[in-house]
Amino acid sequence: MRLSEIIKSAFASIWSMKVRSFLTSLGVIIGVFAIAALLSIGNSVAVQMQQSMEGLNANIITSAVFGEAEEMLLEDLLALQDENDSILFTAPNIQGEGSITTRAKSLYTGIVGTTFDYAMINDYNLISGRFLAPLDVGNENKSVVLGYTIAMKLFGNTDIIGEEVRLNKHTFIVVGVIEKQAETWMGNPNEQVMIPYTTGQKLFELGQITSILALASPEVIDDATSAIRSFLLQKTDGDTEIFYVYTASQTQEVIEEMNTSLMALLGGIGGISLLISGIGIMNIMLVSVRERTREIGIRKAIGAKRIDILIQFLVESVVLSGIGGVMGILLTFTLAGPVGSLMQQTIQLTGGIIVLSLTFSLIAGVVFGLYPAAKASKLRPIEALRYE
Amino acid sequence: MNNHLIEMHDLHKHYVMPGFTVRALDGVDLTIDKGEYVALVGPSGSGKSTLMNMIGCLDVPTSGKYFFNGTDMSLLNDNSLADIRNKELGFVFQTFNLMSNMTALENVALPAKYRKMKTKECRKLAKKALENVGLADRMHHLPKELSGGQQQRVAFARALLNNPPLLLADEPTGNLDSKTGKEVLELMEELNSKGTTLILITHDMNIADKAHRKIEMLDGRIANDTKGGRK
Repeated sequence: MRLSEIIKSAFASIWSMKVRSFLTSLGVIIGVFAIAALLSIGNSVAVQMQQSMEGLNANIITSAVFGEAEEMLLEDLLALQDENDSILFTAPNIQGEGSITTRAKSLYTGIVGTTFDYAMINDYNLISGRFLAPLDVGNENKSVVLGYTIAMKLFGNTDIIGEEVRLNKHTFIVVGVIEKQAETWMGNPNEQVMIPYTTGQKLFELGQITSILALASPEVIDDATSAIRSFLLQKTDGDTEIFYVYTASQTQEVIEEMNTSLMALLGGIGGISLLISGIGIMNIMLVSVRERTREIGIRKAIGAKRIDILIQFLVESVVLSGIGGVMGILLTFTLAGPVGSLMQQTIQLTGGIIVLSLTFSLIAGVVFGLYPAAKASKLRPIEALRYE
Repeated sequence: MNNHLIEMHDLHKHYVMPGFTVRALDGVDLTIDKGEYVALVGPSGSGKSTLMNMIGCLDVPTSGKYFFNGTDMSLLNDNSLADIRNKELGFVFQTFNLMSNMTALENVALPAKYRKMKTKECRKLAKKALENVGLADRMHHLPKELSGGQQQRVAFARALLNNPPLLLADEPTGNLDSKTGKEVLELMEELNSKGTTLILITHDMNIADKAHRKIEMLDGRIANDTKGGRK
C-alpha cells in the first residue's frame, strides 16, 4: 500500500475512536509538555546565569578561609601582591550586613569592609566623590562609599558627598557614590556600601580578614591563583579543607556543569512521563490489534502483506504520538506565559526544544508501536478471519 | 500445459488437540479445471471450509501437495501467497467481511491499493466494479447503511476488482433472503459464463444443483464428486 494511503487510513481509524485516541494522546501531550516546559525553564535559568556571568571580570580571584588559621594582615596581602608579578591588586573582602539610615529613610544593606584597591579590582568608577583612601583605613575613619541603588533610594540623587548616614547606629560620612554596576551571581554591587575594613573591625565586629579579593594580570591568572593558594596553605598550615581559591572562569565552568545537570535532570523527568505515555500507546495499540483481528484477517485475505499490516499499525501509533506531540507543544506555548509569570521565570521555548520533544514523542510512537504492529503482522490469515 | 487450475494430491490438515487429533482434511485428491463452477457441500465439520481455506491460500496443509495454476504452493513464502490472494483469488464470505468504517467505494478499492496502484486509478477501478454490480448510486455509503444484498454485492465487487481467475464464495447467500440470494446466484452464473472459475460452499441443495459439479465432503475426505449436475 502507498504510504499516503496508509497515513490517510491511520487518521481515519484514529478518528473513528476519538475519545480513546484522545485519552491515549493525552499521555503524550502531558509528556511532551513536561519535557518542553522543563527544558524551557532550565534553558531560561541557564540564560540568566550566563547573563550574570557576563558582568564578571574573568581575572578576578576570590578566596576565603573558613576555619582556624593564622591571622591575615593587610601587610601580608600587600606583600603577596608585591612578591608576585602575576597579582596586580589584593584587597580584604570582609562581608557583613546591616541597616543604613538617614533622617527620612532606612534600608537594609550589604556592608563590605575593604581598602582602596577594592575599587581597582572591581574597576569601579565614581559618579561623585572618591573611593576609600589609605588614610581612611589607617585612621579607621567613618567614611562610607555607597552603591548606586542605595544612594538613589536614600537621597534620590548622587550629589551627596559630605552627607551623614547612620550605619548600624554609627554616624558615617558619605565620601563617594559608585556608578551603576551590572548585577552578577555574586550579588548586586549597587545594593551594598563599602567602609574601611579597619573601621568595620572596630565598630561592627566584622572580625579578621578571612576573605581576599585579587586581580590577576591578564594571561597569568593560573600563576596568580597558585600564588594565593600557597599563601593560604601557609596560613592554614596546609589544611586544604578549610579554604578555597577560585576564578571567575572556574565559577563559570561550575555553573555550566550545574546547568548541564539541571537540563539532564529536568529532561529526565519529562522523559519519564513520555516513557509512561509510550507504555499507554503500546497498551492501546495491543487492544486495538486484538479488536481488529478480523479486519487484519480480511486485509490479508485480499492481499495485504506482512509489511503492509506492520506499517499500518506502526503509522497509527506514530500518528497518535505525533498528534500528542504537536498538541503538547501547543499546550506549552499557551501555558508558557501564565506559568512563567507564576514562577517568575521567562519560559523560553526554543526551536531546539520543540524539535527535541517532538522527536522524542515520535520515537516513543515507533518504539512502543513496534511490538503491537509486529504482533498484528504475524497473525495467520485464517486465524485472524475466524476470530470473533 | 494442461487446463488444471487446482491440483491437490493427498492433502492433509490435522489439528493436534490435547489427547486427540482432528483430521479436518484426511487425504484429499482433487483437480479443478479452469472455467469450472463447483459447489462444495457436506455437513458441518466435514472439512469443506478447511478445503476452501487451502484453495484460497489462507491456510497451509499439514502434508500433501497443492498446485495452483501449476505452481507448488508449499514453495511460496508469505509475501508471494499474499500476492496470489491479491491477484489470482477473490473471496466472498457469508458475513460479507466489509470494513465497517469504510464506504463501499473504499472497501472495493482496497485490493487495488494493496497492488500499490495510484489512488485515482484505484477509485476509478472501484467505481466501475460497483457499477457492474449495480451499486453506482450507493458508493459513498458505509456498509451499515446498505442492505444485506447490497453489502454482498459490494463484497463481490471487491473480490472481482483485480479480475481474478478464481472466485471463492463461502455461503454467499447464507445471510440473504431468497430474492436477493437469487440475484447473487445470477451474478455468479454470469461471471462463470465469462470464464471465471467458481468454487462455492453451500448448505442449500437447490443452489448446489445449479453448479456444474458437486463435491461432497465427509470426515475430511471427498465422498462424492458428480460432474454435470445442472438440472
